[in-house]
Amino acid sequence: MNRDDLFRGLEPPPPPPGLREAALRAGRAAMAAAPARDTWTALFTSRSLRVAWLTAVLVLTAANLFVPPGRAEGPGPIRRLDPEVAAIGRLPGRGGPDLPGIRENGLEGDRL
Amino acid sequence: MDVEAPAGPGRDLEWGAALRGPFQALAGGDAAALETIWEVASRRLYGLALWRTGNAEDASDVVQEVFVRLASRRAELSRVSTPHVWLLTVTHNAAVDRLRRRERRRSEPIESAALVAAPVHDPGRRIEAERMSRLLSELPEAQREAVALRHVEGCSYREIGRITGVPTFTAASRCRLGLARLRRLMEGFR
Repeated sequence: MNRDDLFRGLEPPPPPPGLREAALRAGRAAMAAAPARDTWTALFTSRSLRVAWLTAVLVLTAANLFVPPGRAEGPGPIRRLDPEVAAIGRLPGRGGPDLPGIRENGLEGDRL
Repeated sequence: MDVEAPAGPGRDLEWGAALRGPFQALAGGDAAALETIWEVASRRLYGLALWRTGNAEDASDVVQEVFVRLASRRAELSRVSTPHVWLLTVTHNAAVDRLRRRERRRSEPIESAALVAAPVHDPGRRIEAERMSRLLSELPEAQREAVALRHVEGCSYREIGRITGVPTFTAASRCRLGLARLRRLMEGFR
């Protein structure tokens, strides 16, 4: 081992008694609990593959949210309607304020 | 700054080469390789864990955790080109995890562990070892670990950077600051 002058003649303390058995027992237990992974398991549990999956999902979600769908051929929006057709949509309703004649000559008198 | 030169004469990285065979055997499912790895590396791993955590109980738990990770991640061992760096990295990570858990508990006092020991054949240096342990315990954990990796494990600054997850320059800087602080502490101690 290399020693600077400060450490000349000194060395790290030895591991305490009992640690050898404990460490080897723990290692063997870990070997028994987790058998070596085969290629497919390693592939499906690999971190890089998970990152690739996550990236693909994020890209697809972002595309779905922010990229407008392609416009199909067909009629334009309602703002571009022919003025005459648009006027039909604005016909007065019954009892509206623009039916003064009815109020004056008929309905008002009937009630009296 | 020379980042790859050995720390001094006697730099011993043969233990890294000695670990290649056991790593291959363990990757092939040979549980007996764990014992060989223990014989080659246990003292270094325990030393690094002790220097990082500053606590003998935590260091023991760290070493056990290293052997659990060795066994559970054995499929990747056959691709490891520098086994000693791999082992020291796992030890560093386990020690950092351990320290984080201890900081969350906050209740346990940190005992002052013997970070260095006198050789068996030279027990007269025990007082010097105790004094050095006390001084080392006053260094920040990161600096203490960098000093240990450089001057006890014989790692290059680049390897220290890989093990501790910092740039090479930071590793060298921690090592230099740690040694400078240690020397100041020694002067104050006299």
